[in-house]
Amino acid sequence: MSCFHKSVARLLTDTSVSQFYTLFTLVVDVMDMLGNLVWERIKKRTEYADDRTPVCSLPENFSSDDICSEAKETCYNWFCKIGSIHELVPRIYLELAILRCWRFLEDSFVSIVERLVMMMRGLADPLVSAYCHLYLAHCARSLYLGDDGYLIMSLGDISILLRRVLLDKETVGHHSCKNKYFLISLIKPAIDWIVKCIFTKGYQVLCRYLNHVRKVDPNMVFLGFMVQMLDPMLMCPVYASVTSMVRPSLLDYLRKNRLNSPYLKKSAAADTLQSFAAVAIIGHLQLERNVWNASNILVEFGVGSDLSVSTRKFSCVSVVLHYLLKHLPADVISNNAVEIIDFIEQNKDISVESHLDYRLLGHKLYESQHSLSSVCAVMRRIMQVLGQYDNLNEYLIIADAYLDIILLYSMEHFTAILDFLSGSSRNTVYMNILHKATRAGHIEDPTRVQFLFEVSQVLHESIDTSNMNDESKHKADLISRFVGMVNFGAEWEQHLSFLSESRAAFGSIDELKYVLIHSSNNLAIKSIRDKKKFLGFLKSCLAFSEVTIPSISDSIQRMNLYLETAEIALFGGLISHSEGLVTSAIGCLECLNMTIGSHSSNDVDHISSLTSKLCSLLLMIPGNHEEGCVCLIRNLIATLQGHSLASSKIKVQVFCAIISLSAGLSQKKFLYHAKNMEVTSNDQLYFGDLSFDEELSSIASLVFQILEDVIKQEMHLATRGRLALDACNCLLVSFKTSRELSLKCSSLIDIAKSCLHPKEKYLRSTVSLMDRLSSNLGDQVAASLELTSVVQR
Amino acid sequence: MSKIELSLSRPSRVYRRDESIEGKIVTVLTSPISYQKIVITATGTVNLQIRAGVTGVIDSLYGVVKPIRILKKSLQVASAGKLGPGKIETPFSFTLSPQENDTIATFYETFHGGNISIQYLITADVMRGYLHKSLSAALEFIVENDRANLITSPQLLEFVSFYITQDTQKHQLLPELLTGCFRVTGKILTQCSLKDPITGDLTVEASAVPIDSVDIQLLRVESILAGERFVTDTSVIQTTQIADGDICRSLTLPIYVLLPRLLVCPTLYAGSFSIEFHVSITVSFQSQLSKLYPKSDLRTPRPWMATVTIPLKLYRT
Repeated sequence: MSCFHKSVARLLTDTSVSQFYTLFTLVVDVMDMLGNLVWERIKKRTEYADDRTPVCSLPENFSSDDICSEAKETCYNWFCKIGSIHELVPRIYLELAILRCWRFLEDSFVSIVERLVMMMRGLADPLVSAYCHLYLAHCARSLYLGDDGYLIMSLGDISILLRRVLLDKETVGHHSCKNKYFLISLIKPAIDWIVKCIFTKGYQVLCRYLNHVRKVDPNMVFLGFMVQMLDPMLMCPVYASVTSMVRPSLLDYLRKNRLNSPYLKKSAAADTLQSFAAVAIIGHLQLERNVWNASNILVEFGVGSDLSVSTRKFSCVSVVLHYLLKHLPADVISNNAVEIIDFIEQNKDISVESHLDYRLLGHKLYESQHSLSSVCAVMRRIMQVLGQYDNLNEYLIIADAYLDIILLYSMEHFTAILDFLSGSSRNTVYMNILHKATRAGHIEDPTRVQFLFEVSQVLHESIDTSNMNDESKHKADLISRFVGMVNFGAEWEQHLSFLSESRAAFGSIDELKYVLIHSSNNLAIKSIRDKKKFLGFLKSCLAFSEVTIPSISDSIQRMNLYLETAEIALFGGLISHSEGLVTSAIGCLECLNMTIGSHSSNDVDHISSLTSKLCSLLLMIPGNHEEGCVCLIRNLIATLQGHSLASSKIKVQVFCAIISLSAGLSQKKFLYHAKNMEVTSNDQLYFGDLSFDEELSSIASLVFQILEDVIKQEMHLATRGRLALDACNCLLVSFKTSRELSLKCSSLIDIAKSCLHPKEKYLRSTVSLMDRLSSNLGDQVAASLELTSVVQR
Repeated sequence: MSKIELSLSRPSRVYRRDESIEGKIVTVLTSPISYQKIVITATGTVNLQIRAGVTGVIDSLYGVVKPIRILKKSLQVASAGKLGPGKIETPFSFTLSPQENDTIATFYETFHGGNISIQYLITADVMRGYLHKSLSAALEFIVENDRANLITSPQLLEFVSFYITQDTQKHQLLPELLTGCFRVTGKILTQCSLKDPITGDLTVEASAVPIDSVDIQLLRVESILAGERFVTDTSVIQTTQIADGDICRSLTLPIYVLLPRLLVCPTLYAGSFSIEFHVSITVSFQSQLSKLYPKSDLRTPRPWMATVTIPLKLYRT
């Protein structure tokens, strides 16, 4: 044992640390580790001889007779060593840590464990003591004790300390009076655990404990903890006996409260704790509705009875009420809602946080799902109450709780709120409303949509477009979120008109437009799936998108959305629409290239992937006979070629994509097709058509020329080498192997070799690929173009 | 490099009178050496010393009182021969009994105290003639007595009741302690086997001043005959806290103190020296004054402390 463990255990004497609980768990981890190490070591001493040859293996349920004397000696030394520690807390913790090792020395442990419980009486600090008992309960489980009297002893001792905490006005240990609440809440987990241990031991132990408690004065706080631990499923037979014991003290307590007995005046702090316990008991009552009539408790407490002003002047009343509200079933509360409001009102001057009570009431009302009429009466009262609040924060807390009800039932009360508010506070409330409303998956109710739309409009007006700070961004986010969530179900037309309304109303928010287009595209897909007379609606959706996209300022996004829409048009069978959209997308590319220098590498990747997507889309769009079947491709090439500013990397990637596309177009059967019967695939249209093949070869040769130029123009050596390799790889996979191809590729590889390090991996893999392909030249039949034609030109 | 070590058959190294001590001399040599003989010697001595400060300056000048020899026994394990290189074990065995011509009949138990120490050693010597240094190693072994040789052990557990109040204290107490009154009672075992812990209980019946700590101290009282009179010195062996903070009144706390090994032995009265033990129970009260003396030891009487000291008789079962 090192001094380390001793000092770790000593840490637990300092209860002034607010994270005592965390500290405890950390210390216990260290202690357990020590316990395991010692256990294993002593076990090894028995199981192995000095020269590490195994002697025997200990069974799980060994007795002390099985242990050799040397191991016993070592074990006893440990206990001696720990026994020599001066301070009490580390000594107890360390002995508990190796408590299991008593099994090597003795066969009966009851007296040992009871002695340890007794030793803990020397700990005056209730927190230290409670956690020590907790650790004992934890460690003693490994001893297989038949008797559980020690747990009852533990609880009895903690109960004595607790009573001391409750009654003493002076400080106990390091804890001042103010912290009693905090202190009790910290002790609670320890008691919970011990009670749980008792309960898992079964019915008899519990009965013994109950008898024990009956003899002593039943302490409300303690009963509270105990009742909380009752597991209704497990403990059914005991339940009645517990409740019969708890009930009189609770009712007695509530009555005392109502009658304002002198007892209450005596110690307010203790009373708060008692009420805390009462509350815990109440919290458990809903499990046993037959025994406890919940509304009786309310009556017993004084709700709804004739109230004379002088009776309640104690803050604990509001505490108890708060917990009553928290734990009583929702229907009981909503039945008595108006009375409860009266009750809160009358206690308002002395209660600490009445707005929290109102809030709880609101949540319970929402839970109970009552009819509209009864809720309206309550809401009217609440609105009156709300009017009296001058603290904005409290006002908002209450309003927030009733928002769900208002959203659920009616809008009429909102006008009251709207009138009441103005300026930034109104914006905060509105933002909150939107936030709440968009929590769920989707919004369907038309009146609700209408209301939220108005709210959004107000918010939108408050956005300062010239200065987009965090708040404005948040507002814009909320509005877009709301618009995205609106869902009219089968009413597509209505949805689409809502989208155009939104576009008109919130035109200044850019991100909203993405949402709008995604939504309208979604609608379009739904209509395609529906099959029946979809064409008209599909067209209007596309038109909506087509009109909206140009107003987006970010060209990359614009191109992306064009492509998305083009795809949908293609799947809907609207080929000309689709062609138009693709042309627009190519147009976007044109705008893009002008500013290529300012784009980040992320954007560059985005652009090239978008262009690749464009190429893959081009494969599916059937060629147009009048304009030449590959006019879109030529269009794309011309656009790219025209922009000298575009970076060579993009150019090479795009042109490679075009080469792949032309190779793809020459296939007999494409890998994929547009999923629409009306769209004829290019392979059906053109395969075997010589003029088409020629067209493709001319494109390929053209592109190849451009590629060479681009690569040669690249100034940066390493980049040039890589680009050459890119191009070479593309050629190798796209074309049928031939001498001409090898010549072309060798020239590219020569460029790469002149620029890159000869051991560069990319270079070597490309060379090996080429060698492999050219070695089985002749027996390779690929459905690709003859490069000969390219070279001849 | 040559190495010589002793090892005994019992890992605990505990032996009783008339038992056979078996062991091995382990030599690890790099090159072979020849020797004249190998000798094992067992010695037992009582070392007595009088520390300065305990008695007058002149007494301390005498310093060490002549040690008392309890045992001296030699035996030759091997006569002239040669030890080869590598690890060689030479076994030996002898009986723990006085030599025939010796008059001393009692083996005191091993004890390491402040002024008195009773120690038993085994020494192995490999004699190599005049030209070479002999190789030697020593090892302490522990002697415990069996009960036959001892003061007859008590048949019944004997608890002694004690109580501590403001009236039982001989030193000056804080005024608030005198006016506020306190009463701490309990009982404690005064005859205790070395195998068992000291047990008892303690109850704070009343105390107006909050309690800071309750500690149990195990004290040894060593007396040595120096010239005409006994010089007695009391020192602390072990302190054990049994209460931390202002504990609940009228709640019985257990006293449970494990006896440390080697530092205690059965209570012993020999002609020229004696070893006795005491238990002292100290209650410290919370006081502003005590904070001024953070390192105060519990044996000095302080105004915020109350103490009772009870003699403790230890015996071997």
